[in-house]
Amino acid sequence: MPPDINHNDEVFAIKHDIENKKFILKLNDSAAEISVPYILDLNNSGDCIGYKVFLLKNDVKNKENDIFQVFDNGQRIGWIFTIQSLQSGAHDWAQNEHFLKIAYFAFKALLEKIDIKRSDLVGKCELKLSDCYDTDDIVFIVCEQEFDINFYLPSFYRYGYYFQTDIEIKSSGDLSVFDEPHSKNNICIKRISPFLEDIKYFTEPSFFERIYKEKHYLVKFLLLYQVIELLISKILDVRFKSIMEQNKTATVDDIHKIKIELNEISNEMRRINLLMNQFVTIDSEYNLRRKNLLIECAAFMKSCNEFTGSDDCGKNEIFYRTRNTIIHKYNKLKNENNVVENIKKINIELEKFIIYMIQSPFNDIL
Amino acid sequence: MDLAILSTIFDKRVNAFNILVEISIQDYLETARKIINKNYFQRKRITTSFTTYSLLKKDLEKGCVIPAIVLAHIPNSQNEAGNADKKITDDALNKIFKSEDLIILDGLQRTYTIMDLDDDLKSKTPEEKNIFLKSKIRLEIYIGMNRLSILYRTLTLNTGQTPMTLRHQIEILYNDFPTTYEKDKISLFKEVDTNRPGRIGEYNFKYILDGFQSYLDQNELPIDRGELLESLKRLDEENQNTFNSVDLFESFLKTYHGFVKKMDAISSGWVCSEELAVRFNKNPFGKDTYEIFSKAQPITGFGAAIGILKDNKFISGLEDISDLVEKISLKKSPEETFSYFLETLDKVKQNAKKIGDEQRKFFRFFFRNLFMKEGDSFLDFEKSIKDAYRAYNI
Repeated sequence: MPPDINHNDEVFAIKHDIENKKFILKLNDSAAEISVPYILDLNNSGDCIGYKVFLLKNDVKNKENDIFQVFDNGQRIGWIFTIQSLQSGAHDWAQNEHFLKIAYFAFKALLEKIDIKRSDLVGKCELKLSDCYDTDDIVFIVCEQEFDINFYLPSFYRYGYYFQTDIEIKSSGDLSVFDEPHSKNNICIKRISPFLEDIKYFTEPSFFERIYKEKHYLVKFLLLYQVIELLISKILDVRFKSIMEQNKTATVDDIHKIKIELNEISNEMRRINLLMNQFVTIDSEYNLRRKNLLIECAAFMKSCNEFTGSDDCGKNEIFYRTRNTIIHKYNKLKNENNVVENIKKINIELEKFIIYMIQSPFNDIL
Repeated sequence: MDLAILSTIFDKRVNAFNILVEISIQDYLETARKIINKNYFQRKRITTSFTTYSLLKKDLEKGCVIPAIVLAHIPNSQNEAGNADKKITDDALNKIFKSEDLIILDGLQRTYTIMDLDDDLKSKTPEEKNIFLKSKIRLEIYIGMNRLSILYRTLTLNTGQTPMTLRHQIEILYNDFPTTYEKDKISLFKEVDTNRPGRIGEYNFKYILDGFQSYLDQNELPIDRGELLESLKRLDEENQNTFNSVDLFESFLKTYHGFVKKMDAISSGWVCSEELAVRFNKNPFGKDTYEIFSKAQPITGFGAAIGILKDNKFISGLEDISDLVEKISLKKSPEETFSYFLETLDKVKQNAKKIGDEQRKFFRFFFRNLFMKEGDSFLDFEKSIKDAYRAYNI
């Protein structure tokens, strides 16, 4: 589960001192007070009930002015911005009434979660929000109580947002290239395809953090390829059950036909084709990503002299053969042929491709 | 009241007597309750670790000895301050102690704990209470310190703690500075003032203080605790007159005001057009030169840059800047120049993790370029902008 900051186990009172532009935190068992400046103009109209706040990371979109409205299915469901955006009036949104409203609730929600008995906070009578949170924290505030962020992780990751968990990998970040938001001010997110909701790999934050932070190009390739493995296993599972269902009244005469069907579905290449050509709803963006991936695969295969006359840069086979070369023939590859650089390029395109793919609607493959 | 003087030492750094006395908790409480809420300098109560807090209370109840609490006598006037020759008698000390002109420099939390325990013991028998109330504690009392010396000693005594907020310390440091300079038509507005600065000559007091602080620190960023201490030392060094910085502050203010007036003159009434503002999301850095240069970012950038130039002997002092300001002229039209200025500031804004801090840095480069004789953008306004952005981006 992503870190949820919506449940406060500390008990203290929060009072907004409008005149002095600050919040006052008061512990129940002490006369002590802590003041936290809140310099933004006030818009506290409406009610805070129904908002949920999450903390994410983004090593690119972490500027004070990186403030985006978040849309799902054409409807604005929330906002995403840095902690710093809540502490400054210098950004473009500091006068926007909608931002000011959401900022007020987000600020308050963040204050509610502060552990004011934390050792580094004890003894302070004035705090900034950034004393209590990592200055690189990104705030996502959503206006739906029932919102389940786990189903949106790929969507956020597409723009470089991920949740920090406790996995022990030092940040790399230089091996990922993220999409730019749809417009200067908006980010559109999409719920993961219902068909994939039961695959935990896609609904647990650690996967996205791991692929982002993994430094080694080979490990990263393997991690990314796991997605393909999972999806083609799913295809096998569904198709196998379907074949069994369709042939439950079969007789001995049907053995040959069933054998062909099972052979076909157990063939990995065949399932990759199904996945990449039929399973996913294809649109122009998908086609572009697939094409870019195949181009990098072909470049890699050419650089290590594995590209044959029968290979076609436009067909999925080149992707599968690339995978086989990296997995089974890596020991034979010579580094002077830019193998490492080419695998890194494949990783960039593969990452973009799979992140887009798992957000796409999946077709009925039965 | 039974005050026993144990030792008297003269503190040459702050020019005051430090007197060690022994007193009963009961007598200390009587004075402590009076001074804890009345004193302007007094810090607020802070959160403490629950365990430490209750342990100290239990120990005090049993009559434990705690480290000396440090107090300072705030003189009613500067004439009383630093009177190093005056001998402190028992009577004089008793009189001072009974007055409310004391502040707690070190030991506020201990005092709160003592007060809390006194309240907790109300239901106990007099005998039980007396174990606590008749216990002795030691106090160190500084006599004859002025306001800035008190702040200096507070900071040095409380290394590793947060005795009061930084803003509070700065307010104390500059509390006595004047806010009106009639001859130069300058007014400084404090936060409590109902009016806001809105025309040339009117500035936010806090921004000017930040700029002055940046000048002393040679750093445009908001200062931290260690830097404040450094500032106090600098004030001391610059003036050759312990902690008297009003003249230097005034000189800084007038120099900057001279620059703002010059900007107004050479801009020939330039105002950011609606059309131009749209390019900056209708939120340009400033709509005219006064609005641009009355913000904290340019003032602190100016302070830091001038401080650096002076420290590196490129200029001899603020007077040099006043002369140079008069020589600034624009090579292009005001429209072209200031549009370019706003565009550059917007670029800084779009790429900054902390917009305010980054803009301060940009202005430091800008003013450094503009006033450094040895540089190739010396007094060249447009080139100073360009070079500042390049330097900022490196």
